[in-house]
Amino acid sequence: MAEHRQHESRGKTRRHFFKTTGATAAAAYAAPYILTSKALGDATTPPASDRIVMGGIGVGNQGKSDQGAFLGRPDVQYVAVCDVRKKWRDEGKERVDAKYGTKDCAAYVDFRELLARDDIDAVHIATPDHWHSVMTIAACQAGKDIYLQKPETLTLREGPLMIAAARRYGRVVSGGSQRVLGDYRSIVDPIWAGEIGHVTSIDISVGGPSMLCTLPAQPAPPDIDWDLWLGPAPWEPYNSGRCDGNFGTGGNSWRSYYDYSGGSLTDWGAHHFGGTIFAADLLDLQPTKVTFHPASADGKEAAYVSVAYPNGTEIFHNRPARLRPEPTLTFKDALRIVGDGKSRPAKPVPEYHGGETSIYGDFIACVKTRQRPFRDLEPAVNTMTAPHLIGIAYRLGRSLEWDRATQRFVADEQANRFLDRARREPWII
Amino acid sequence: MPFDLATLDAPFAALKGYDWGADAAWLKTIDDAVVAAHGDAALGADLEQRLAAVLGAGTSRAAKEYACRKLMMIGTAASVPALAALLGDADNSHMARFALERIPAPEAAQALRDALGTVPPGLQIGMIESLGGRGDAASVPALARLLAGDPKLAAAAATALGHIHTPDALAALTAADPLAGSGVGRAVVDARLMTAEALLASGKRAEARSVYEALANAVQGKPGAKGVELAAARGLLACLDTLAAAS
Amino acid sequence: MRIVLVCALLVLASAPRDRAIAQDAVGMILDLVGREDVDFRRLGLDGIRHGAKGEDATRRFAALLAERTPERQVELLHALADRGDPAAIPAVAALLSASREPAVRTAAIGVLGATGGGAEVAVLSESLAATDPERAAAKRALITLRGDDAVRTMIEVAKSGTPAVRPLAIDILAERRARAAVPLCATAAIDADAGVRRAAMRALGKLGGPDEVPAMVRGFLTAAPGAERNDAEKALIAVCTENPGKAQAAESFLAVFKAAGDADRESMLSPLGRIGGKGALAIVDELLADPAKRDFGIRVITRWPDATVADRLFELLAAAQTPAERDTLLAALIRIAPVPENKLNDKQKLELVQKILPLCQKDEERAKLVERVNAIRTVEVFRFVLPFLDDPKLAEPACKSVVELAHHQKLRDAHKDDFAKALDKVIATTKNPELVERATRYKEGKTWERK
Repeated sequence: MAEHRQHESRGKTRRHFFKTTGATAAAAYAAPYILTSKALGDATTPPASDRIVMGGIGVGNQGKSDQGAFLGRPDVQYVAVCDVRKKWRDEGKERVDAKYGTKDCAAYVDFRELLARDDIDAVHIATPDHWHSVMTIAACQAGKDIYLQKPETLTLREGPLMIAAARRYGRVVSGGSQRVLGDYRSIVDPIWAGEIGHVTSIDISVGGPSMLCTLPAQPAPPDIDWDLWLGPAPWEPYNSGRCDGNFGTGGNSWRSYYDYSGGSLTDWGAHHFGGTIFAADLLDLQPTKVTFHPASADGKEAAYVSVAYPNGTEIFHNRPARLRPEPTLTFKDALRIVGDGKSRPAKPVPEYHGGETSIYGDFIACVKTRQRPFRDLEPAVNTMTAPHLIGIAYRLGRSLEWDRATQRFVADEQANRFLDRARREPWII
Repeated sequence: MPFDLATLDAPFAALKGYDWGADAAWLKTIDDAVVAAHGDAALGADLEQRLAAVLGAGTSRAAKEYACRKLMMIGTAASVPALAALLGDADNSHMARFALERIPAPEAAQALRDALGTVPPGLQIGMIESLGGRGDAASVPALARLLAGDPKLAAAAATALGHIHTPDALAALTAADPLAGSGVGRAVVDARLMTAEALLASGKRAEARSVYEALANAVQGKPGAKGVELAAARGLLACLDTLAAAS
Repeated sequence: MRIVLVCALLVLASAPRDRAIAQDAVGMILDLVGREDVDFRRLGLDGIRHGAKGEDATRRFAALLAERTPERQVELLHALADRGDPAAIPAVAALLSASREPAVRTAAIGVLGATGGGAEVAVLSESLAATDPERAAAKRALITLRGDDAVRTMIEVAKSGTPAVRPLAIDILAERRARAAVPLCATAAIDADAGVRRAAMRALGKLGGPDEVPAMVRGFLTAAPGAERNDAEKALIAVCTENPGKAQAAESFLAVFKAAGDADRESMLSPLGRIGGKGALAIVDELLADPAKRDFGIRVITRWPDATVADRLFELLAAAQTPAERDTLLAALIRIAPVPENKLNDKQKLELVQKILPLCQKDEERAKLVERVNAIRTVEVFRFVLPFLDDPKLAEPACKSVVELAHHQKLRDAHKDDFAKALDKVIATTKNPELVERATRYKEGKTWERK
């Protein structure tokens, strides 16, 4: 291993976690690290020994954006990509090699090989959602810090397990909703300044839950490892519409389907719920009551669901316009917020750490200082609990009660079946 | 209004010949019936019987998969035999677990335990995953036996024992080598830490502390064990803090 | 080893006594933060951040500051800031007073910001006069200080601080959205000091409502022409078009306009047009009806924020009295027609564009229209643009529009074949290498990031 791993610097944690169990694999998979003049740093770039060594898992679509954000930082040394698709893997490697003028970036099909590398400090993960918990927990065990794209979880049980793993190994794990602080300041600032009082209700307009995929079988192209794409999800035949597509949720894209995503409700929902839950200062809470409002008898108004928090705030998902109260604040056509107008002490709005201006910078700053990032996994999981609960209420067509302490539905055995899903062998969390 | 069971005949007939890519609009009738079965025992029993029947020979993998998804929601002990029959079938084992793992009936757990000893090695990890996911205390002896065998099964068994975190599960984990290779040591350590966290969360501070201390002492000074030492120290600190918070 | 030692301590102390037990948590943290090994030290710092609650513990942690090296002081300070307990303030303030190390001072200021209140305003305000990063840290700290007394004290600094500090103090109050500072800002909008004036107008742009409009107009008129005036206008427009009470604020602006003298009115024509609305339109009518003031009317209506005046613009264009007037009116139509918030739906926007096109007499006018139209993201617009790819004079803007429309994956995917053909044409036509790259990527189903 090159000498850049030998000393502690800039507060970066040097990991030699579980070396006896991981070192053999790490040695087998580690790409050679050649100390170039770039590695020694210059006026604007810290020497390699002071940079955060990173790899990316899932580097197409959003993963590519995430990779670009980290690759552009002088305090990051990007050394490896992993993707089950050759095209994205190759492109991801090319971007890294072009940036550094080398051919050194390693490219993996299997994320376990990347995680086994002892020289990697941190990873970003932007796979479909059904992989998030498996990869995050494995990365925590391997001593990596993690930037994890939203939605951080696919099931309710995954969240506490992921948080526990992060805390257990002292990992910095940032959720990946770049919009929460970036887009919603127009509602965050007045609420945190106490201008509208306590938030009593929030109307969120965003798509619904995911659906079952019934697409036909197609021959899997050679550039994808289909079994590894599916991973813990049920085996289903390859179809490009099952795994392609970027942000669509209306079919023919993985975000549309139950096995891989919570649908628009948790995808764009992660932003809208994230923004409002942050704005309304609910990050430390989880809903307790989930109310299913049936469709109107004439079928003109669709069913909708609301969740109530213990502090009295209620979030409505797609409530019919005629039932929505006059908002105190709005965000585009998506969010309508009502405050009680009573006096409320102002609180400073949290900012990204280290004076950084993006969620990526926030993560890197926290990797250096070991602080909890802006979208730490715990508030991220709390946030995602709301759309997950709503999705289950839609699937069951009834109201539910949620006990945060036990992480179970109260007196509803059937709802509790939705807390998690059996993972396909050999995947286990 | 009682559900008209006759409306299910056509969709179930179609389900028996269903495969991926076929027109599946009729699935909605079954979907709706499954939701309507909540609080309607007769409808639930009828649906369960029809769904279990789809799991037999002569139906496609897609049809069986769909039936398993629905049995995940409404399955009882009655459908366990049909599901259990698929556990050893490489194509359908996972989806059978998809239902069995979530069916609370003890018969479902028993089926998974039984299969643990009979299914091919590649599918055993699945049984382990589901037994761990259920927190099935009765599977501890079988899981404990796996800790000394094939590394992949041993690592999975350790994780499952961590989720079960009963005293005998902990005893089995404590007897395993926390620095064993091939990922087993990592899983054993992780499971012991999980157990300690569960003990701490349930107010059993002294027991939790013992787990952390034992782990720290077992790896102390050993090469490559720093991560374990750190995690154990973090746990000890949590124990102390819990004590302080309780004061 | 130390872990074992700590365990032994715990065993000794784990008998009945809460206080002794609590101190052991602190003891373990103190032990850990004293380690040379960075990972164990970090674990201790994590303990300071999130564990061992209580003021006594905080004081013991803060007491470590005096005996640490600057590097260790900094990490300890960061942990104390995250801990957020005011019990650390005396030790931190003492360190701030004693240390000249920039990193230590910056970190100490961070602790005061995270834990302090009104009592810390004075010392932090002193650091506003320092250079960055200390000044930036002080600014952030003053934003995060808690309590009404912090705001009250900061208002005093904004009133009577040094010329360098006053604008910063106003910016901080604005960042805090401290409504108690609004009266001060209303006064400061006409301050003799340009820096103070600008800060005050910025603040009012964020916090102001109908009541502040008269003061803001005074500030706008006091602002020096150029950047200061432009910024003041933006602040005024924000209050009248975005902030709560915007409709009343716009009315208030109209009232002030009507009551103003001729010279001030002339200065206010630009914001009058950019705020728009029925009342402003009535004034436009009056101005247009008076030949001596027609130019003013044109100036106002061509700044309109939305397409509600499109018909009036067409009428005026048809009756344009000079080529310059015609150019101005047509440019206004080209600007307004496709903008997202112009109160028309996409179909109406395209209809408006189609109505404007025959009125364009110059290639540059047509080019601007063909390029701007891509703000309407529909397949109809795509089809509208396509023929211009074959017009040598309009091919470049048409290429730009096709590429911009293709950027939207949903639209592109819904008309995959048509876009593929059009993108091929773009690649063969455009002389802009960036458009070639983008068109190629979109054709291959790839995305492109705006630089």
